[in-house]
Amino acid sequence: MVVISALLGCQAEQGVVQGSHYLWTQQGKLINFPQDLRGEVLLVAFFYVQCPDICPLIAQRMVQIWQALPETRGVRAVMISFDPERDSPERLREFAEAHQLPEPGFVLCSGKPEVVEQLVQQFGVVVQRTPTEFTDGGVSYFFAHSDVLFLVDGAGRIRKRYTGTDAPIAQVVRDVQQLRHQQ
Amino acid sequence: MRGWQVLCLVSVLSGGSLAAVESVLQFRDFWARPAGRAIPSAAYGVIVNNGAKADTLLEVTSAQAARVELHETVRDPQGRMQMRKVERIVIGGRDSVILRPGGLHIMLYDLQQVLRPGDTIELRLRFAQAGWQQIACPVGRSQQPRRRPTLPEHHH
Repeated sequence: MVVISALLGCQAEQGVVQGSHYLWTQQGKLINFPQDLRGEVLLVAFFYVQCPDICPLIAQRMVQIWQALPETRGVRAVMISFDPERDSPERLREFAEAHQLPEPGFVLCSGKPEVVEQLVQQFGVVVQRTPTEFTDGGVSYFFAHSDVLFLVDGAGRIRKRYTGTDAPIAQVVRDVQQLRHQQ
Repeated sequence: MRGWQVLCLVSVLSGGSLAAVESVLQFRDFWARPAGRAIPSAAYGVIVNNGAKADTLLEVTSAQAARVELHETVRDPQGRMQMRKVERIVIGGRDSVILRPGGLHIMLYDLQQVLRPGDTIELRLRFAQAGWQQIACPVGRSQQPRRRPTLPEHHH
């Protein structure tokens, strides 16, 4: 179990993503996270496609960070959906297109519920499914969820966490650059 | 005006006190988030009430979405972000309400079409006093101000 506490310096380690987690991507490929991305610096966020307000803001902030990076080689932005029931590769691809997420830099993925749950726990993200009833009587569900962006190094170690929607762009760019040079 | 700072002019759909309505409510900087048919969108902007009396936004409809709801995103005590349905939004006299990402917003579900930057959607807003108002809402991204716009000075 990963313990994530206060904001620490980039040198610090806040936990290691352990085990193999097979996830489908927006391209319909199956990846083993984070093994298949070993050696790359990762910006990781958790989201769900049906979120109309906060998750697009997180994605937008990740794009801003991405565009501010002087070099994106060796860096990957990973968005993991905690709504595998709805977020098929097609849905993920639709989200990526709607929000003009750079490819191949951005990997959107989800997986079997138990796999996603393991990752949610390892990253210390809080996710709670909340049923909702619309005015017209229709029913659906949302999620109450953490608003976090993680910086993960090439060995799968969680090095830092930021507020997702409001991550300090210049600081994150510096942290990514620092990790890239340490690889 | 720059970017999405568009002043959306009001067109009155129903009869009634047309002159008074046109001069009372303004819809500024409205924009909607790009979305796919299976992905909800959200609309944001500023509703300015230049009149002395409060008005209340009761509902919103759109030809481009089968389901439209008023929602607010809030951070709960555990730090989680969650949405809650809002039944109505009151705009005080000589006051304004900002609909913005991470706050009050208009949610658009079950879209009839993909919304791409450059598209325009129509929103119909029903107010308790002003009745139905229609605005054209561009699809794109915003540099929407976080603060309230400056309002005309209120003289008693």
